Amino acid sequence: MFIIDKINVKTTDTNKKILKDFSLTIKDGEIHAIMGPNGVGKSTLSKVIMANKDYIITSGTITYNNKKLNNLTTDEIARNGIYLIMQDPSIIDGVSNSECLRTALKERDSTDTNLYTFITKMKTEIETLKLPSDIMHRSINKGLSGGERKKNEVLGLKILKPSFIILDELDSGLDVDSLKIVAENINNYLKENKDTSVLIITHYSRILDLIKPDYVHQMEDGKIIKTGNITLAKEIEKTGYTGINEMRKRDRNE
Amino acid sequence: MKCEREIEMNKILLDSTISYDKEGIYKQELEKDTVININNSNIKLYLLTKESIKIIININSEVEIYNFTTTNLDLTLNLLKNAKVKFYQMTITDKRIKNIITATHQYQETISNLICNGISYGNGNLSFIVNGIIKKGNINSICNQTSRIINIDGGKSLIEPNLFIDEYDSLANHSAYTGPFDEKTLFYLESKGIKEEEAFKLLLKGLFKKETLPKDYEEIIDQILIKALRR
Repeated sequence: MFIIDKINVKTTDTNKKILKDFSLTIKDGEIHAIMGPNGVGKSTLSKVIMANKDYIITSGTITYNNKKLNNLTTDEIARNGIYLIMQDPSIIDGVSNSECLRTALKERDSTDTNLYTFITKMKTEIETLKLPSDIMHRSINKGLSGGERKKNEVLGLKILKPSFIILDELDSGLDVDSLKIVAENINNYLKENKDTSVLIITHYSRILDLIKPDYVHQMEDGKIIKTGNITLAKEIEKTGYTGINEMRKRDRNE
Repeated sequence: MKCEREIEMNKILLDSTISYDKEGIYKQELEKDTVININNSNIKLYLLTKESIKIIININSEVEIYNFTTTNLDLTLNLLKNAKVKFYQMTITDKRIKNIITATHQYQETISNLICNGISYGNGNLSFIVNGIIKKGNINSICNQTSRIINIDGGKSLIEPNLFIDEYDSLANHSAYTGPFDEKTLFYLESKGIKEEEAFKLLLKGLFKKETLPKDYEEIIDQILIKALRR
């Protein structure tokens, strides 16, 4: 189970408060989506979970499977089974995909992964994701389109086999066909790994039509202000974030 | 002195002029001032410069040149008729050294791409002085340079990208970076479960391995890299 309990977060350099008493519980196998307009702290949340040095948790705790993550480093958190697909995955010239993923596997298992098994698995997944066949030996995300970069991150997911996945704006930079392929691959992974939980961070509900969430949360000013199901996402899509907030104010006054 | 193709590193002991007339891959270790003439296309030349020496390379064709050093260097590329050169400089040092790389376009429609990567570690103070010169009348010439020095634990560095362009009808670009590795890049690798130290190693090795290098040449670079990483 993944639990965020009343965390307060500020930026390292400006001391600006980003997350305020933020709480969220995700049980094994559940899919949660967080929606909200720009600047409410959605992407920050994903970086805070992964212990990005740009942010400091001033109070509260993050635990995963009863293990407190607050004082762990980014790599330790990842090795605990948490995998972040970033909104804008880095391009790293000179480091190949296979080097990166083999090193990551080695760090997890403390033994060198069998090369034949690794290559066979990579080839199969590359084909399934319809990625260029030479991507294994290419520099990380170099020369790839926005969509291909996201697919490449899904390739990493399928190789590293996490139990908790964070999808930060997965649909940004993806065309309709690529989005379908990516969502299909994630759904298949979830079918094969039923205890895997997912946190989807998104502006739009279209991704939620493809990866169906159990819960949808609306975020504003550093915290969750409403929780519902897919209907909430549809309402937001229909009226916009401003519209749904005005409706809520009206309801409260009545 | 002519070099054999696909051979082990040759030490230049007496001759100071080398000519490459046939296409192929050549590896050359240099310990004294040398003039190199490249007279054929499809030549890849891997140099290893060991002392503080001066090298002049005269180019009449399309060529890729790689040079690895840990010391001072003054290297000039003379772009003669039909010259198109990709030049890769790789330097690792913990000393105060200067690498001067100059591309002189002496003919029309010549192209130079200079890619200089360095690592300055410990008490290192590495300077790249990268000069691109297009003389008047050498129209349609292109002169590009990209330089990058990564500083590790106290290492210092300086890049001076100089473009001396005396011909309007030509193109010149430069980019330069000195400093540590980008935090975002380290975060990306660490978020895959790779320890900071390992991520650092991958990035350091990657700095020089953007291009495919011959195995024995790569091994020489690796040995120096391991020394830098042990710190």
